[in-house]
Amino acid sequence: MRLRAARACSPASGILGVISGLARGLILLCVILAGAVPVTHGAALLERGEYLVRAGGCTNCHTDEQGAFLAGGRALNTPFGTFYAPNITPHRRHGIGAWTDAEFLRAMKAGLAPDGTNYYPAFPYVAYAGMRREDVLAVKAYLDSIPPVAQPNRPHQLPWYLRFRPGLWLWKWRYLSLPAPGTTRDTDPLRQRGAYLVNALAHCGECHTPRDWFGGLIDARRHAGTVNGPDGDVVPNITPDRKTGIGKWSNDDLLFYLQTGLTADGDSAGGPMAEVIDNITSRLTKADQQAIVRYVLSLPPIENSLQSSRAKTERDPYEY
Amino acid sequence: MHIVKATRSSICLLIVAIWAITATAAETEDIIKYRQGVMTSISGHMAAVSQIVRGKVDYADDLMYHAESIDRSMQTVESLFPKDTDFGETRALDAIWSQADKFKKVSDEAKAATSAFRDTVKANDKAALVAKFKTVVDSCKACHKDFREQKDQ
Repeated sequence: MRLRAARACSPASGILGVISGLARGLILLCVILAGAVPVTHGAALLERGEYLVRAGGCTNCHTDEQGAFLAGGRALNTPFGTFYAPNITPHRRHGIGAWTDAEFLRAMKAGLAPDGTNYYPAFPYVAYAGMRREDVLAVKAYLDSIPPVAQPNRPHQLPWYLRFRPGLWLWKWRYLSLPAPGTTRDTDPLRQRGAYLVNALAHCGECHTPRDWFGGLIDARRHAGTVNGPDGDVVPNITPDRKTGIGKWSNDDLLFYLQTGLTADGDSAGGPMAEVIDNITSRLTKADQQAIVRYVLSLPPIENSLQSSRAKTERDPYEY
Repeated sequence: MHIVKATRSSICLLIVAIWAITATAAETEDIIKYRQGVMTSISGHMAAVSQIVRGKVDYADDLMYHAESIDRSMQTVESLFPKDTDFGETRALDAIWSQADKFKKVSDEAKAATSAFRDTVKANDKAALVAKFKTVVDSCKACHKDFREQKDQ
């Protein structure tokens, strides 16, 4: 005690003491905050993560029909082969339970597995690259909270010339664009939110944009529709072109479509878009739905008719 | 003489077979056209109901007519898809017949949804109107998700 008192009296030891005290105070503050964070912030974080998992469309690909939630196994048939979505439950062996936050961020924004191998762009990291860091971490927090499922991943079925994953470095160099999707500044905050939802999170362009020979999105025809969508489907033009896109839709028409799947002419969404309506757009907040409407209807109209084989009529006479 | 008779019999059989196939194909095309007519009429009524329940137009007096028409057409939905009407100019997928149980289930749900909507309109239950209409849309979507080919818009 005496020794301590003597030290405290010297100027040098006084400064050290103050620093030490501050450090202790900081540590104590951190401990208190750390204790408080998981209770309040944690619940909000999980809720936010769940919302983002829905908005990001994770469930559509990573949950197989009749399969366990986010345990993978669903096939995505593309002109480049069949990809099987992996298990993203927190199972330590078959899922992503052993991943650190940094590894998850790298996977989502750079398309790299924890062991450094490249992911195929069937996993839309080109779009997710635009996601905010805190949003990616909220997704990770939510995925860590769901039940782990011991379901092994199924290998993709690809032609031999596409099995060389290091070749994807070249692909990424060409197609991982800057600025990242959905991050461009906009004077209209609602439209900027819409751009973030459409381009980074919900990655609408991944299906609605035609691809070039190497599977990259053709930027000049973004959202103009394609006849070579997943599973060989025709995916419509969603730019506001009046002839071939959705230029005749009002704000309310598009909003109601995102909420229900019913078009202005009384038809309903089908195929993968029915799932997008059910799992993504109908579950968003109304503000986010309105942001999507504002952004999509402000896109530059692109004329791109997908009805090459027969004359375009007001309605498709062969639709049932 | 025997060979001549056999040849004539074969030719007759061939002609009858060709006639039968052609007649069946024509009948199939007619069924497909009828089906498309019924489905298009349903979507026309759906478009009209959508405008009314969203408060875009003031034709509330016509709502019962639209709801009744949708329900009557929907009650016949399974009969519109007889076997072997999945070829020709149609977007009907083979799954309608290869997954008949699943198709019946979604058809039954659609029939129940349109009847419930008609009853809601009849009871003038304005509070439940939009929700019941959304259930009808959901039932259309559920069927089109798995049983209609994705083509054009």
